Amino acid sequence: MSEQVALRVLRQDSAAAPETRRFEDFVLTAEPGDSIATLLHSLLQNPRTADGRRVAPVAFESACRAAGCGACAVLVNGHVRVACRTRALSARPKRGPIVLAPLSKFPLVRDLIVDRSALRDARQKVDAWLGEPPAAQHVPAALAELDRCVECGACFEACPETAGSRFVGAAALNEARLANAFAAGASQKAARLDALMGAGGIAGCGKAQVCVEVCPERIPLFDSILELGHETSRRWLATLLRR
Amino acid sequence: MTPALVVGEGIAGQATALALVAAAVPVVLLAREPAAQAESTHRHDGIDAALGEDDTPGRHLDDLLAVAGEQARPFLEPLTEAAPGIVEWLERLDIPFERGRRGELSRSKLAGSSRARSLHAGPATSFHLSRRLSALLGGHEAAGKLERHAGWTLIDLVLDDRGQARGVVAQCFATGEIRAFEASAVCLATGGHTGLFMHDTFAPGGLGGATGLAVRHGARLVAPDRVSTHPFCYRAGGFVRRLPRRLEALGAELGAGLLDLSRVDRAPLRRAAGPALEAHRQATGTDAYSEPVVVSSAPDRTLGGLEISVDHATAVPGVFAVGGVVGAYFGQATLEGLPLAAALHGATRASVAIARFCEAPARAGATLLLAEARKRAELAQAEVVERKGSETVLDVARDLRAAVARGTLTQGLAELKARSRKARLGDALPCANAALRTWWDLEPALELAERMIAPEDA
Repeated sequence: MSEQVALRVLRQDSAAAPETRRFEDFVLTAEPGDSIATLLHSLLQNPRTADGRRVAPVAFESACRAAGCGACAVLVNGHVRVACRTRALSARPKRGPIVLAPLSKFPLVRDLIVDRSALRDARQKVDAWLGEPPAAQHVPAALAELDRCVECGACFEACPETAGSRFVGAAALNEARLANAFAAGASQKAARLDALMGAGGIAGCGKAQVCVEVCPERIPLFDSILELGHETSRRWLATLLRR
Repeated sequence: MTPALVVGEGIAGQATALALVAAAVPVVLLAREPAAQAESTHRHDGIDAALGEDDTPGRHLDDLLAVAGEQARPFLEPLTEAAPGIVEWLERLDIPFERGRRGELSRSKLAGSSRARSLHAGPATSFHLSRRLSALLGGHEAAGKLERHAGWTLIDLVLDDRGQARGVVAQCFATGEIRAFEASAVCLATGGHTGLFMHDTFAPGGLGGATGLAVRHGARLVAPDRVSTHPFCYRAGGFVRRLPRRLEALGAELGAGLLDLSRVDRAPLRRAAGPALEAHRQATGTDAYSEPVVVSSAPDRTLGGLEISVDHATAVPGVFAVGGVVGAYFGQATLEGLPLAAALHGATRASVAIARFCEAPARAGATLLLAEARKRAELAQAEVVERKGSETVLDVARDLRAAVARGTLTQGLAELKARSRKARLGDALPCANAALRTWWDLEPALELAERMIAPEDA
């Protein structure tokens, strides 16, 4: 059975035009299986507000449309959610419309679109990259559950430590742990641990563990942070003893 | 040295960029979506290679030719030779392939293969591969060997008076900035045009805008109307999604539009398809492990595309093509584990040819050409922004898809072209404008559609 869903979207034309910040209300028809992303896609075709005004379509990001990537992460009623994995009918609050807003910790581009390049910068900061893999045989790392990040930015958004600080966030730390474990990243391990001990690194984690709760892939991010904590401590002690 | 430009950050584009960096060619990587969002990143396919003691590249080749047809031999022969080496490289990259008790690679025998030679990392082989390629490229970018621009829509290729590619014009989605990029060679890794074959707007795969641009400038096509279908698609919230094709080999039963997995062993099923089945459960509310689920068949991959030489060069000098945009490896049909191998093998082949191409002394005069091309794009945009037509470009794009899907293109194309010349954007802002991005794709897609109904030899 299809039902009417009220949607309130926080809009802004561009980063340079804060005066255009506004809420707009829409009423859409949703089938039981429809996600928030489905509604946003249908708004593209017919962008009319609840009071019948024709407006510019709501700008939003959406790529795989199949719960595979993290492109459509937005705030749904104030909580970070991946829109194509969030069913519209069950996202309705007890009272009032579903409120959509862009992620708040990233620079706004337009409407629901933000610039998430900070995630990449964070990886860069802790050198969570790989190099050409060694030729020798090795034991494969069994870390599949960590190896699932879809780069949605949910952990960064929900983390209480990333606001106004240089903390790189859980995703970058998880990638750093993976890079340490992979054969193609092992040669950089020492330098990476040093970078992790620097400003914005592992010490920035306040252990709130919200990242684990919001990760749509349920990556045990906090395990990665603990593991890196041990590894950086060991490295710190080793350098101390070598002096 | 003027950089080589790779367009597209899916598996094929990333692998080509990586191979070019290894060949000491400076690279600019331009992508509409970042790698995590590329279509190829989210496919369930594994990769085939002749690895068993009972298997040889020759047997692998015979199996592929039986499906694709003899004309694909020049492409498939070197691929089957190279495939075991590709897998060895993937192992060194810690792609979490399924393994047996003693740590040996698990190989499955899928439809069309005479031997067990398909390797999988669950349903996420491409996903893991894409992540590794991104991490390798990230390192190169940090070292200044690669320049990356994600979120840029390709508007046009720029050719000089000899018809040689000298760069591209593209638009930044976030800011609306139109910029010309100079390049010594352009490699299109922009994926197939599967989106053209889908009824609804929510289909995976693009409209084939980049293919259309290459055709506009003289590239030839092979069987652009040929498309393979996927039997295990389902609809959820208006989106077409897929379950892994490999379920068939695991013993899934398909009848009357229902896929029954209830008699398949749970453990291997979970390993092979767990995340895909979980996504299905979340989207539909039905548990595919225990009850039959509704599936239908839907277009899944274009088999045709740009005609290339064995060096992956198109008919346009300086324009190369790799991955789904190419129509060379698949012929009449394809096996599940071929496309990934074709993308990786193609990346190696193309990078060698591109590196050689880039060594030729650069001709002067690109600056002016590029400035003119950028100006043309800006004028075209100014024209479309001003339009006041009754329908939007999104409406026309939707109807183009419907016409291809329903086979009514022959009658409807002229009208669609006329409508696209009048359609308005419905959104006048330059930044993050989805209608504008669609429009850049729509015009060349219409040219591609025209070739689909009027093949070159006709």
